[in-house]
Amino acid sequence: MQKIISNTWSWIKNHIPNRRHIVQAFAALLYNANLKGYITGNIYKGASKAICVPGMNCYSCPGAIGACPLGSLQNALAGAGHSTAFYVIGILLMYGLIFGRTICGWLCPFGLLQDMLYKIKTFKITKSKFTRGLSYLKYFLLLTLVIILPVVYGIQNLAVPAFCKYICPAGTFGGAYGLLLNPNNESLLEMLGALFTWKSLIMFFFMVMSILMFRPFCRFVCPLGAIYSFFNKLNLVGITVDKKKCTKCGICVKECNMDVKEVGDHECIQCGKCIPGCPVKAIHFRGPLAYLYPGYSKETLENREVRAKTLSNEGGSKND
Amino acid sequence: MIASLVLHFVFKDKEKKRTKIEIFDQYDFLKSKKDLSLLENEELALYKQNERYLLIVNIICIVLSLGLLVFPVAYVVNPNNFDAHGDLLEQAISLGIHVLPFLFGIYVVLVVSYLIKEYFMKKSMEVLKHLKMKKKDEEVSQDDSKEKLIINIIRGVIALTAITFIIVGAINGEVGEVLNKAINICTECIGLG
Repeated sequence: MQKIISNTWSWIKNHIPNRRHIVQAFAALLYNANLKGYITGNIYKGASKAICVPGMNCYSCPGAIGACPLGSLQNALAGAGHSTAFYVIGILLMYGLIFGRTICGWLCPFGLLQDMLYKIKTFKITKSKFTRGLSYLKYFLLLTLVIILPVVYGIQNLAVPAFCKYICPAGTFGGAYGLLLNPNNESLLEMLGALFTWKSLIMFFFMVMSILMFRPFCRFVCPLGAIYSFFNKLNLVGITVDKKKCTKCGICVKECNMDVKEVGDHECIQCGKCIPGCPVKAIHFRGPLAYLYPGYSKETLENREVRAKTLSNEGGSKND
Repeated sequence: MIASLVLHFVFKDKEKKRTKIEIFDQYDFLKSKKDLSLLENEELALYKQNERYLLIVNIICIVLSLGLLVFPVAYVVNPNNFDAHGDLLEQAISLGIHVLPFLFGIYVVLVVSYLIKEYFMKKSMEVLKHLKMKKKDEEVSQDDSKEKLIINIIRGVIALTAITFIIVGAINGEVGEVLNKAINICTECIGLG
């Protein structure tokens, strides 16, 4: 019995989540603080739902206490012709300016889900020039499904939030399954059809892919990430590289699981994974995150230098 | 990318193609990293003359390309040139006759301009190659302060725009619309159509 307890305790000590995951978990709990909704099967109807949360969190999730920025944007654009979208766009500008894609790395519940699934030990599909090219797909989806289609249909008085309706796996996971798995919502089960099947398939596809590759939804599909990526050089809270110290060795790009060409570019989710590996300590957080260094590992400076030398011997310093 | 596209059909030899593209990259690198203040008067005059010629070639290339582009675009946007009920083969041939020569002309202009630019770039590079590199700290701090100023200006503009949009949106009643949508189950979002 004592052995079981000591083994369990040492497992826990070795698997304490890093600070980024803790912040992500708090954010997920905060966005879905209406715990009563999971029991009753009803969504929250309070005034806080007029405020958009920074990350992807469907407002049809029974726990959601805020609005989804992407869904709100599509619905606002769907009112084209008879209403405007200043409020939602203003909120997105504000979030982008303050956080940029730090939201993806630290404040998105769906990002947390993908991070957790990626920890499952299987073979992993690594990034390549192909995945880098595929990462531009999200801009295409932003333009077509989030902007053009809702506006075009909105002018004809049809509200079609195309991304939410046909793609969004966060809505399926949090909203659909969150509501449908509650026994009080049996009447909703009768309304299921081909669209639900399609969306469920997409959701399961991304969940399986999240086990095999790092954050496939964030890298290739998420239009919200695409919006925030425009602010990645401007955001107040995030990651920065000291150009005076940087030797362009490329170790940070190699360490990174996202399709970055340099730290802080439009693909960077500002997670800080590259910080321990930098041999000259040129990368650091700016803003409040500087006090929350992710502590990805408990490496000493010695270990960091050894690891950096090993990585630089492996493949040179190309950032391409 | 344009250089590689243009040169792809001119130089079939991969090695030659790669060398040609590298010349452009090398030129940009030397221009940005070398300390131009060390140029002597004659060399400086030669370098400036080459830069002027490069600029003239760029301007001529752009003007000619755009000029040649006008004709095919004018043909394509004219609805009288296309008739769904007419002879499609004849229309396709006519389209080819009116568009392809101009596109070929643009391609020729690009190739010739790249060859001319390469000549002047090589002359500039001969002047720059023996110069010392700029001191890294000075270069980085000068670039840094300019970049920071621009970034801060953009941040200020975005912040003001965001606040204005939120206030205007609130006055327009958009807050109520977002709330109204969020407190009702979004059947599209959960796959119920």
